[in-house]
Amino acid sequence: MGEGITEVDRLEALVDEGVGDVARYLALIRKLKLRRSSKVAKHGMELLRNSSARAKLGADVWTVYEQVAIAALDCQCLTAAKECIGALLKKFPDSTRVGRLEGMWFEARGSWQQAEKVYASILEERPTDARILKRKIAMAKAQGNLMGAVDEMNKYLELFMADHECWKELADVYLSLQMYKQAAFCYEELILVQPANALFHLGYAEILYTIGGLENLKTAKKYYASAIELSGGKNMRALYGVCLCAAGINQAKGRNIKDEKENSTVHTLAADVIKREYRLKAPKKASLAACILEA
Amino acid sequence: MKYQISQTAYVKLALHALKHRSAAVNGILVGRVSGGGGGGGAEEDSASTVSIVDCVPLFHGQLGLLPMLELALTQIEEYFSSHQEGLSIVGCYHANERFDDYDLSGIPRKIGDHIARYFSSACVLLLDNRLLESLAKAGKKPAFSQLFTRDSSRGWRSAPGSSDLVLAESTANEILYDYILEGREQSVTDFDDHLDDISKDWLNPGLFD
Repeated sequence: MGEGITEVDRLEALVDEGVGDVARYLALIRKLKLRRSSKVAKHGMELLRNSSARAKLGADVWTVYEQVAIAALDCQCLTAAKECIGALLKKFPDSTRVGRLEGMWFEARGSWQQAEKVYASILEERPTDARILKRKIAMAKAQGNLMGAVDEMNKYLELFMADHECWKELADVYLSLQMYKQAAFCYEELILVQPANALFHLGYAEILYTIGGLENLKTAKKYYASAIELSGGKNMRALYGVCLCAAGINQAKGRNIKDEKENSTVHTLAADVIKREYRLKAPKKASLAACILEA
Repeated sequence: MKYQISQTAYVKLALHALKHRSAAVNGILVGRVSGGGGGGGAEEDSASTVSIVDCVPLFHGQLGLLPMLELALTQIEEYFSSHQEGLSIVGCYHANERFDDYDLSGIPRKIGDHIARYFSSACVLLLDNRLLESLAKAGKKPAFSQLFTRDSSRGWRSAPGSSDLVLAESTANEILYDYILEGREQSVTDFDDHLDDISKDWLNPGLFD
């Protein structure tokens, strides 16, 4: 992912200067699912309004229209978005995929009831259309109805229980509501769906640490440790996390001596890696990092 | 108690929020107390001023988790107490995810509560997007934040008038406006960015060059 971002940044700089390949830039943004709406809207609209550039896109032009429409909505450029949606409607008059964009146009204006109508009519024919169900979740969230969004997500997950994006979104909303136990449950599902994903082990550990208590700290330490392993020993949050857990466990009551010994090995190894990384990459901060680890 | 915010802190926290427009952001306010009885324990001493001298951008996106917050608070307190005389953590700032959300939610309240245990005059600044839109006309007042302080029942209440938070330098809004035109918010580094790549410095040393 890191190299992808560097490539996108490089292309973006060229495109900003007027010498880059806009089509390639837009394609890479789509592939990496980045949200850089003002650049996409600006350069995308320029490309689409240029008939020879448009022709060079071939069949991709419709995907680009969709991408630029959404970026324009994100920047509140409703006229530009309308232009793109209009072109798509002409080509695909009965498409529910374009219908979704019409609904999103209403959402961007804050015309929630009209958006609801658009989505309701699509759902009548296709009650399990995942994209439209996701719009209903997004609308609830956008209107600040977080518990409503939670409800919609739980209903969605009954239909699509392996959708890890939705489990992650649900966890995020629970966390913003400080409903940590419910967020932890979501991360348990995420780990089931993708057991080798270091970020899910990391997220679970962070939630358990936040809930607190000796048992949770012990479990958090295990998940921080597996996150370290799964990320090739490189994840700084996981390395720090193991040390924070060890410090917390040592302070808590009710531990036994055997645990204490196990504790120190993981903790010391992680502390050594942190100190080495700081010496190499952020020497000015090395003393700050070390003061935490001594505790 | 009066509160004053330096151009450095003000511009930095605005740029942090602008860099992550579709996410909630937060950060720590660093400063000192001057005037009146002096010392960090001065509660309702109206002759004292809390000067917010600088800020450290913390996180964007997920703000509700404890471990990295604890880590950041420790490192920030350690840095400012040993490198900058008399500076310590005096509060925090928070910007909500949604444009029209003006509520002070549980998370900034909790962080504020934690800071208030060490500094009783702690404040929470909540960014208000409506005011940010009218930046060009703001002139001398801080454009876009609501100041919250602790009242006697230990809850957080909004300070009554805009006179309770003042800009230390009257040029702050103009500078911010210029920086926005330049896109300087892309250069802000927060603690999240540092954890992703430790060579990035959360002190943002080159930001105002």
